[in-house]
Amino acid sequence: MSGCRSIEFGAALLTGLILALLPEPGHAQACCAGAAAGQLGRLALHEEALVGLDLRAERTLGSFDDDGAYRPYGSDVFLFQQSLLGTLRLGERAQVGTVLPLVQNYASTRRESGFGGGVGDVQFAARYDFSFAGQSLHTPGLAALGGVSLPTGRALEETTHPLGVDATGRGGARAWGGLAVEQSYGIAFVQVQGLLVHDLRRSAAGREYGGKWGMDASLLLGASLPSELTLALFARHETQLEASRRLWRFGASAGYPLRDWRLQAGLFVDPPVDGLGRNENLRLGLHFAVMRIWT
Amino acid sequence: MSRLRAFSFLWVLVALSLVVSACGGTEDDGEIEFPDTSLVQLKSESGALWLDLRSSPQPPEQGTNHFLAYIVRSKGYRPVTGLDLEVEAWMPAHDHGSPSEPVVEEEGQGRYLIRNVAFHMAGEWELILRIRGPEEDRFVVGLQID
Repeated sequence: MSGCRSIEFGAALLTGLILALLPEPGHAQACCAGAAAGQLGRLALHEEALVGLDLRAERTLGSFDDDGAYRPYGSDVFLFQQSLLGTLRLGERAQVGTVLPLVQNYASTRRESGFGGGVGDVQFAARYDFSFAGQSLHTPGLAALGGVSLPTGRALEETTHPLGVDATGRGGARAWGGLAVEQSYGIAFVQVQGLLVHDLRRSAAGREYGGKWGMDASLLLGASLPSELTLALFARHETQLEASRRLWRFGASAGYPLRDWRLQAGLFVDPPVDGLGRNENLRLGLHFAVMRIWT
Repeated sequence: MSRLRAFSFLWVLVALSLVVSACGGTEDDGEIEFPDTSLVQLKSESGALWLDLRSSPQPPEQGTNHFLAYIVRSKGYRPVTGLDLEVEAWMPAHDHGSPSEPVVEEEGQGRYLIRNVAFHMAGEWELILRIRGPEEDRFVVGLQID
């Protein structure tokens, strides 16, 4: 397939997805703040199920060295992702969801360029709420989170393009689990989340790769405005101990209900500041999601 | 509106099935030229062999690179011929390899041409040259790719 044809099909794909899931005008309805601008695909208390589409674009700005020094990229590296989301409530407290991503990468250096992609790693996640935010002044919402991503994407070592643009997955399964605490105070709300992440052993191109442990912690502060627009700011820290990798990410997100639909958007940046990462790439990204909600 | 949505979903499915491969442009290699000066010189892990390595381009860059390895004995500096050499690009901090499968051609007099070593991203890489067979040994060359 030529480069031009791939780009044309990518553009057609985006156009089709937007038309297919464009919400019709409707009346706004109240929605829980944490689900509106927090984890994508999360159901609010009164919601039974959702199906949605998330469009995402990211640009790689540079990388952090082993000593934490920032090095800007001399090349253009972009990632585009379209994900189908689905979440289903099981009883009052539990919900399960899945994410089916389609990934495209574009990279261009002084000498080479490329565009490629395919199906990414499929994710399955679950959430169980022991208590809900806002129900008590003294007891915050507490939830257990867990999930797994399966290596349905193409591992880097199994690709052929010298810039790795046809890599769409991690190459191995990843599992995670942790806790989320959430509380609301009037229109304001706060979420704290901690996850333990494990990349399972994998093999690619005849080589075995060991498993790795990591941690992912995030803090989100937001407000649900009278117009039903929910806004939030977040900070997230990822670390992988054995590999000496770590990264800080900061961003903002917003959610807005439209009758049976929810719009959610956000942007993030990994700040290019020495010491705010190690052995990681820095990215700038944004996303926009449209979700159909059943209550 | 419903017909438009149905067509849109169909179009999405068709597009999904087609956007799956890589494409792009690469500068024509033509004749590979190496500089007169070494990129690095180092001993093998056993200490028995000595490597003089040059790259094209030099220093190596993100994307496709070629290397010329000149391998001699540490004692006497005699060229080592007939080696079964296997080359791998490795990013230790990310625990992953490279999209490429380098090709090694012996040119005689201890010279080995290594084609198509891809560093797909910037960062700290290792170029690992493994010597197979009775004289098992290896060189590990640290490279900063910008």
